[in-house]
Amino acid sequence: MNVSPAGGSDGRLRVGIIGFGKMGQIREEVVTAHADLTLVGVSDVRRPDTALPPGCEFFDEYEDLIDRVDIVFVCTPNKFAPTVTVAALNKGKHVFCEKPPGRTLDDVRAMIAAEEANPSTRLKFGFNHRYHGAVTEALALARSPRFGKLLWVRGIYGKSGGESFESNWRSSREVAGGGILLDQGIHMIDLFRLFCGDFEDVKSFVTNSYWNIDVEDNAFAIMRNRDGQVGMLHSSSTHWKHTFSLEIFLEGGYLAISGILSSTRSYGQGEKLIVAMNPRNRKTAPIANPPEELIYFDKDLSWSLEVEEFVECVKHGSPVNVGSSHDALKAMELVHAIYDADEQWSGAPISRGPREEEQVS
Amino acid sequence: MRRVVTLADYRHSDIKPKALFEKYLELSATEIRRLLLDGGGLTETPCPACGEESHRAAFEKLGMKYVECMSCGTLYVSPRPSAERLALYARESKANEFWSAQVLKATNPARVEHLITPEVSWVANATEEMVETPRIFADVQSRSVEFLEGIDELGLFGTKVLVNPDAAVGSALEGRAGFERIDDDTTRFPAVEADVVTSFYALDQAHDPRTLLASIRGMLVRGGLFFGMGSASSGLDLQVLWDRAQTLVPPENLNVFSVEGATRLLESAGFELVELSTPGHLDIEYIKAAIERDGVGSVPRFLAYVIQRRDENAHRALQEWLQEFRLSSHLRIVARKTD
Repeated sequence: MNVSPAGGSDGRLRVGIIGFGKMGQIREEVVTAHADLTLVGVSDVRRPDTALPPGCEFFDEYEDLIDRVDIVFVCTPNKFAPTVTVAALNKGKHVFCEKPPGRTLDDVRAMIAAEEANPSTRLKFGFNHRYHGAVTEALALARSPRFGKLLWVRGIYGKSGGESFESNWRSSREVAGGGILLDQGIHMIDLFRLFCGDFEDVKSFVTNSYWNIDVEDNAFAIMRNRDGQVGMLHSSSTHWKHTFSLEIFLEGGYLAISGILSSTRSYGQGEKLIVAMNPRNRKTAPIANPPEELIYFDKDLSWSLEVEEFVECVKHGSPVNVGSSHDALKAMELVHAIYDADEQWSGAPISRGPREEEQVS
Repeated sequence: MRRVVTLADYRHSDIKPKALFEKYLELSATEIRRLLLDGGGLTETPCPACGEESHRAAFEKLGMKYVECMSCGTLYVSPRPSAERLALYARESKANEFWSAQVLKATNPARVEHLITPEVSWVANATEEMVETPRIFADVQSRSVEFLEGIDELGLFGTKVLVNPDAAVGSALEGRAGFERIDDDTTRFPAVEADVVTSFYALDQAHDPRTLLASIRGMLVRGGLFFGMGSASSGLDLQVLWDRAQTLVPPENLNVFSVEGATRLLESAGFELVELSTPGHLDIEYIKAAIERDGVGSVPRFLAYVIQRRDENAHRALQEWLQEFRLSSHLRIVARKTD
């Protein structure tokens, strides 16, 4: 088969998915629905139980799959993502890599080095929350001069852990590199950056208060940027009620996102954006409890929109603007700044937090 | 597609005081007879939303017969007067004159606070989110100077085009910098390449809404936004009160689209719906008024129970729920022109 970075014989870009778990299967749906993409293969340590789409082969060795495609979707556990990404970039392939971008800052830097060494390639990371309807609407409003300067943001992203949480690879420091903050909280960090830019000062408490795992199950952080804007974050895997909440308070009013559409709908059946503005041309102090407008979004287009943007970058050779390697590095720096800001956490051994047998009365 | 819930605090009497509104209804009945019904010339029409012919009789109001589309549930007047007769009514009706000179004048501050300011914010917010570089704004059958001034104050649009404004709006904004005026009886409006077109209640009043919508589409650039508002036949108070619904007044409400009918109308006209909401505040209040006027047996028992035995908090929660699930009888849409 003729292999060319410009696409297959039908003109469509050939895609391979490496890592065919939950995320890989979500990507499969988006790729097979995209008119400019054709899925030629998947690779995983286990052969999938379900049938693959027509024309899509299974590859035992991911390197063989890389050789056959134009674009690689890296959907592996965090430990393997940098190796696969760097290998694909070094073979001149475009890469869409799931978040988080590896386990450590060095992982991200290694991927950036490979990207820079192969300037014809495009590298994008899966920070899909930026494409959710409530987020794009809130961002447009927050940037409107009518709302004035942004004062602070507060975000909660929490889940209950769920069945087999302790044995899941996401709960292993060796494989995941971090806990709930790195796995899920990084989305909220990415959104904080979207609204406020980079943060300079970081304070935190990082705990392992319930689950018997060697990564954090809660991270509480407060951070401030150069403009004095403050962000408060709580990322949790002991949030028994699944919760996504992002509040943005500005001089002229507030925007509050509640719920985020996911494949399981466990964070709400829809996304709700509350919009409230202080009256225009006010001459007195802002009124308490201004009238609110609630906007409901019932479709999650984030997966397809982020892939669409990536495909456009690949087709036109344009830079990746959302989920770029710079975004990935900055988000990862903030994750690690939160870890480091809690002296007890950063100084603790790999196995963090008091285990049951270690607790003293 | 998004839907919006708006939490506001005003009453029907703030925008339609009882005595003035009753006088307006009285004048409407007289003028409908004089200008629209006498002399005949009424013609049957298919559903103005979905185009289906099958319908059933609904009720008669102020001498005009409403039917209900069997397919999409839209309520509409059929047989109806010609477009020329309706234009004559718009120009010469003493009811319209009274509405502008008395009702609007008496309620203007409340209307600006509760209706027009939120409408301006609605257009501004959606435009800022969805239109990269807005340049041209157009309003079809402009009815409110305050709305247009609010749009002007936003500073979003270099040019504001008024298409067939009513006389008061036209004269108030005559010669104002940044405003242009187009008067066109044909409803084949020029392609002004507008990024945003607003037209509130015009589809409700149009003899042929499909032609009007096609004209509006023709004014927009590709991807441009249309903002529309009107009444919804699928909303609670219209469904419950039917012919007794106080706000349903012909020929202002010649077409009363259901949520499903509005969806079909917009999609078949080459629009993609971005928002379809029913942000009405007054369904419960209207039913409460009907109980007071016509007796407790005039509405379904459960609704009468809720309204009589539960407090304002329950009523407010029910009204919010109606909005959340597109079941109020005030409809608004944002639609994007597709290729």
